Amino acid sequence: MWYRTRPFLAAQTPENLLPWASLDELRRRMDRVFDDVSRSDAETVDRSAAHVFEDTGASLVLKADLPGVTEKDLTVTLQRNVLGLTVRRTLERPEGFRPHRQERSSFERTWTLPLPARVDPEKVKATLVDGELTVTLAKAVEDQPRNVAVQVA
Amino acid sequence: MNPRARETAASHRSAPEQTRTERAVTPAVDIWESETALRIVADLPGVKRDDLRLHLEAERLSLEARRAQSGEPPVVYRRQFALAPLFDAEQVTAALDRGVLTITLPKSKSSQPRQIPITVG
Repeated sequence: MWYRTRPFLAAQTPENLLPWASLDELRRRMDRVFDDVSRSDAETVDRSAAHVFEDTGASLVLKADLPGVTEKDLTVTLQRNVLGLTVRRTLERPEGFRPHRQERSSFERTWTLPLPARVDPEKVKATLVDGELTVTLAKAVEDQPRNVAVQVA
Repeated sequence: MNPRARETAASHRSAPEQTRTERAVTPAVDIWESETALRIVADLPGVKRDDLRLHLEAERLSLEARRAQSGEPPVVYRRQFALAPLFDAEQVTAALDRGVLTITLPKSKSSQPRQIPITVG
């Protein structure tokens, strides 16, 4: 309900079986975070697009729906291959209005996500467009999948 | 139940019209009322202005927004609101900012509260 899965594009080789396990763990951690956030009492509200963590081979991509969040309410850090995200959304009652229905919620959360592959700290990109956060972390060259040339004897 | 099954069950409950080519989602909304207006605020992450349709007819306001996603079926946000006949349709405004839609429906003059002057005879 809170997340969707995507096929990972990285090849299944013994070398990256461990990162795969870590990626699952990462997703579970994020699920827990989003479970905490869900205070909505509306059962019909589907937030399945809340976040996606994807391994594209050359990079790790994190996407999260953060409608209404501005750049100043968001901090992205990378330290020793651990991605840190702090995000806050504060909803206020508009002056002179009384509530009929409140399904949207304020939230303030910090994620600390050990990454399943080494990434290049110089090649981290975070964008916030139309309320959708995308963090792209280019993997260090040694952790990118490689094609191995097969020699014919 | 595994998450995938939960997701399917949830989207079927909220959107029986779902097809294989898109995923229907009911967006979270807040509804506020003041003496002069009704305000509807909806979370529509990933939606661009050109992919949003608002339709007001009689006492029904419909919202439909399409969110394209690479490598996946698009998400369609849909929601309808039944309105009391209090609003001035010509004056309705809508703004989409950072994935949040704000619709303001001003009440028509005749439906706003007013002070009735009392004459002393």
